[in-house]
This record gives sequence, C-alpha cells and structure tokens, in this order.
Amino acid sequence: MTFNELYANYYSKALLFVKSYTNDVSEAEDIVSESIITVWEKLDESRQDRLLPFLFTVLRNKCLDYLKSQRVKTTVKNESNEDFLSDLDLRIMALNDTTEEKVFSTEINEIIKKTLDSLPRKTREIFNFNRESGKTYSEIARIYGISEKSVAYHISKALKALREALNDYLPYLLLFISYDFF
Amino acid sequence: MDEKKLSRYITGDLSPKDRNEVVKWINASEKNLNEYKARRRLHDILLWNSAPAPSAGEARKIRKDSLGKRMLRRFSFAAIAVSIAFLSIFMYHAGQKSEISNPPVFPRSITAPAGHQLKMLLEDGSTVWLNSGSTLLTAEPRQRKERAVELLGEGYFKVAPDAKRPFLVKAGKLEIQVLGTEFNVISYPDQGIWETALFSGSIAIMEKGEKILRLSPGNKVSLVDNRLLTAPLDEEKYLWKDGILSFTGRTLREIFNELSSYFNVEIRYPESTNLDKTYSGKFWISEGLYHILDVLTYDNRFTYAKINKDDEQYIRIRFN
Repeated sequence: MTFNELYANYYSKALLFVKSYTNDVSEAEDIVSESIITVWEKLDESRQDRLLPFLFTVLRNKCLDYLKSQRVKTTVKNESNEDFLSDLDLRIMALNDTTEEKVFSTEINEIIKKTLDSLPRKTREIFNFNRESGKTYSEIARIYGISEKSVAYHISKALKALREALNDYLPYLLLFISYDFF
Repeated sequence: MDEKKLSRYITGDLSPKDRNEVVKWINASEKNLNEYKARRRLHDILLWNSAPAPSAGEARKIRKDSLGKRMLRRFSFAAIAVSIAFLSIFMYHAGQKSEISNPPVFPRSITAPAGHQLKMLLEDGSTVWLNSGSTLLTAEPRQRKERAVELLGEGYFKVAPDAKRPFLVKAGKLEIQVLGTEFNVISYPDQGIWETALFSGSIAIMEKGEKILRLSPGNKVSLVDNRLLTAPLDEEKYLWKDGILSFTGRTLREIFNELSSYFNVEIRYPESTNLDKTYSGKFWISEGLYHILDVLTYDNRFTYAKINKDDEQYIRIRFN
C-alpha cells in the first residue's frame, strides 16, 4: 500500500468519522491527516490486514485527545457555556464507548452484508451511496432523479433493517426499543 | 425529536443552536440517552464496515456548513502535514548505477493527490508544500550528509537556514542550491515547463554541479528553449499553497484546461467564441471542482453535466 492509496481510499471515511465527533471540519482534517501519516509510517506487512482497525484506533485516540483538550480549555477560560459542555461531554462519552472491538468484527460485517443483500437493489444503492459520499438527501435526489422524500424513505428503510439485525451489538437499552424515529 | 435532526447531530452537521436542542432532548430521559447511544454506535459501525470511498476527491465535497470561525483563521484545509523523519540526503542521478557493494537505495516518494495540496514538515525544520499531482522524492532515513530532495511537478519550499548543510532541490536537468529561503519550483520536463520563483533569501541554479545563475528575491527564472530567462514574479500564481486557486483575466479555455489538470478530470467543450471570454476570481481549492464550475455558470454562459457511462468519465460543457 502506498501513501497515495492509503490517503485516497480512507481519507473520506476517516473525515466523516472524525467530523462526527469534532463537529469541526478543519480540526477534523488536521486529525485525519496526522493519523493517516502515523498509520503510514507505522504500517508494516504484518499489519496490512488490520489496516482499518489500526486507522480507526489512531483516529479515535487523537480525536479523544482533542475533545478532552477542548473540555479543559472551555473550563479554564470560563467561557462557561453549559450547553456546549454537555454537548462535548456527550461526544466524549460516546467516543470513549466506541472501541475497536465494538466496531470491527467478522460477525458484524457479515450481518451488514446479509441485511443489505436482502434489501431491494435501489434501497441498497442509495443507502451505500449516502454512506460513502456523505452527500445530502437533496444532492442524492438530484443524482438519482427521484424526490428527496424517496431518498429519505430508502435510507430509513435500510437503517431500520440494519438496526434490527445489529441490535445485539448496540448499547443495551434499559426499557424497550422505540422505532418512532424510523 | 425530529429524526433528521438527530442523525445530523450524530454526523456533526448541525448548527450550534440546533445542537443544543438535540442535547437537551438526549439528556431529558434515560430512554432518549439510550436511543442516542444506539444510533451513534449504529452510525460508527456502518461507517467502518462499508467499502472504502472511491477517491479522495469525494472528501472535498463534504458540505462545510458546520464550519465555525476557526475556518477563517486557518487556511490549512487541504494542506496535510507530513512529518518525514530524516529528510536529508537524496541525490538522484538517473544515470548513476549503484555500486555492487551498496544495497540499492529506494527513495521515499510522496505525491499530492489530484485536487489536493500536501504540506510537509521536514526533519530539518523546512516546510514543503506540494501542489496537486506533484511528487517529492526523499532519502531513506539515516542517510544524511546534505539536505537534498527531488521534485517532479510544482512545490513551494520554505527552507530552514543551515549554512553547514545546504538544501538542494533537483528539478529536471537543473538543481537549486539554497541556504535558507522561500521559493517556488515548477518542473514538468515532459511539457517543457521549468520555472523557479524566489520570494526571499537567495538561491543558485546549478547544472551538473556548477552554479550557472544566482536569483534575487521578487524574481523568477524560466527555462525556455534551453535558455534561462529572468523576470519579476506574479504573486497570484503561488496562492495554491494557501489553498487558493486564483484567476485574473483568464479565458474560459485556459480555466477549463487548468481545472482539468488540477482535478485530474477530463472537461470536454465545443469550440465557441465564449471560450475567449475572460474571468477573474479566487476559489478555495477545498470547495471542489463542482463549486468552481457552479460559480462560473452564474452568468449563464454555459451549463455542465457529469458524464459517467461505460468506461468514460468526463465533464460535458454546453454553451447557452
């Protein structure tokens, strides 16, 4: 794997991941760039097949460092913004919980493949495209020549199926599962 | 809770005001918190278990609506900081055969992907910006007597002063010797393009180890028909290092050609007098090709379409 391949194949995915926790694109870009370089420098033959989990872990740790430093800064500067702090705490908690073992496993991968394969082709395509491109519903609607509502329908249908299939791998729900959102 | 808001909260695409609303909802009950955790985990699992995105260019198109003030402060969007341990000696002589006793030297190479610039911090404290599609060859760690690199394409160098170890850039047939300065090098031998522009300090152009020209700041030197010509430099051409693509009074034809090579896509356009119309403007490279094309269509002179059929991928231009 060359640096270019590493960069071209995983930059997009890594950026979507980090941005979802930092909520800040330019910060996320820095973290992603640094992480890809770290991975590239430390990548050896034995790790090639574990590339994705390795990248994930580097990104996760750098991102946690950043969020925690934000936490400290916000307290010290006394910009006391309670809303911002509870938002930040939620993100730190969520990322802390998200470890390599919980995201990567052969079973998870197989369940996803099976579930997606069981969906209608169009639903699967639109869902995958949305995940991989990070495009908005309206952009996807334009590309596929369908309404935004249909895009939302396909994506929520796929999400619902995946969530049901992956239920055992999601954080435990104390009460009961509510599907109001789908 | 609005379904769309919760998922946009998770992807990090909400405005601070909407974020607060979602956070309040999440914290309102155990059930809501669990719902958030489950959705959050589902998002991460699905993201990391999907196929890799096809190209780095896609990443550029991510919407920037969640950007805060930081964005204005920092121009490093597309720049990527590469720290290379021990970038020092690397003399690349095409004709030089390695001696039998020496193991072959495999240089490290780094190429900036299409539509991106790379910013690299070298071990000696120097900084190099690599323009889209350009390559920098560096030495393996451990080998360092002098600081030397080879450039294929375009790069901007900010060299840390070190009188004892001159910095050497090999570009095509010529070399640039530096003590500590800022300069931009363009070298595309196959297209017959070679140019070096000096912003501060002093550099010497060398051929086969001999100094043939010394350049003073604010000037550039180009190789035309095997002759070196000096002229004052035009600052706007070097803004790419800050992630800016700038056009002043350039024809549409020139702009299409530049975008095509910058973003590594084919742009097909019919012959038209419209191609001679000139445009001026500045773009953030990180906004992506389609943003630039969208802006250029504001005066309704042309429309564009992404064509993606069979093995062909290109952008089709139609004049109105």
